Amino acid sequence: MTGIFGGEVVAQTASLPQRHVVEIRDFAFQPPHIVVEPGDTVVWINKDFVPHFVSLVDGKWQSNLLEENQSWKLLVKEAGFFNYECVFHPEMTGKVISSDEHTRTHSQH
Amino acid sequence: MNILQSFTNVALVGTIFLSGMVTTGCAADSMMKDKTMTKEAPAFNDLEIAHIAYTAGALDIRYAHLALALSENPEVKKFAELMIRDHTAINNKALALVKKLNITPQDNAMSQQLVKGGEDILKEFSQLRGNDFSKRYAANELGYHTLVVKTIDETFLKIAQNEELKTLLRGANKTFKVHQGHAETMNANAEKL
Ligand SMILES: [Cu+2]
Repeated sequence: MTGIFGGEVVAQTASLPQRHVVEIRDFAFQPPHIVVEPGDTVVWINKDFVPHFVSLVDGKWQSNLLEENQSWKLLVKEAGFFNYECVFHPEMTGKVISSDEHTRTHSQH
Repeated sequence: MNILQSFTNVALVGTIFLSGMVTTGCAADSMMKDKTMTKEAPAFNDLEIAHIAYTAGALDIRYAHLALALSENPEVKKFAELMIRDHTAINNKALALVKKLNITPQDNAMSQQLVKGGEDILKEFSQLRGNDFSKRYAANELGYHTLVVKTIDETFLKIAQNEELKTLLRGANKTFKVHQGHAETMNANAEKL
């Protein structure tokens, strides 16, 4: 498999975009904090009976209304700290920490 | 905050829930007691519990629609929208379970008293405007959710037999506890109006 793409080359470049999953369960984001790199995607999936609605605290991005088992995907384009909440249940909060310092590449090699 | 007042405000509904708890608590010897004390109410079966839970949710949705129509208070309106959204989702979940299990929820004295008590509260709500409405609605919602949470935890979850019904009740009660928390805040703010 690696031979086709030249495994060595892939391993030495910046890490490939990853997909992170945040479950919404029992009125909480789990995990509440995630660390990503720009270019990664974050998927929120609602495992509660009732609808939730993910929104950055400053409203810069927002999901759709997420019913049970519905999910929403965000492409993280930039670095930064993003505090988000549920619009319907604002006591539910979470944080996306987006860092372009290649922390993941270092930790994996 | 005046919790006692809140309970008085939902006195009718409260009496029903509490009497349900009392009679189920001593179901075994209820036959021995004075009829006027126990009203012959036996412990609820699963079909009755499903009916009561659904009826209570539907009632809260009706209160919320009235709140949207009568209140100008943003916090009250937001809470009412939350009630409609969440209780609708949970009642739909209950309907799906009813369909899956191919059962028919059973009407019962507690459901009937809930409806009757609810009609009286709706009538009273409809006479109120502005802050009077907000205060009354907030107090009622707090008392209502407090009692629902307690009844599910202390009675329904103890006597329900079907595991799927219990799972539904547990999940629903997590939601109702969140509502209770929101209602506490709304009620505290309404009392300052
Ligand atoms: Cu939410």
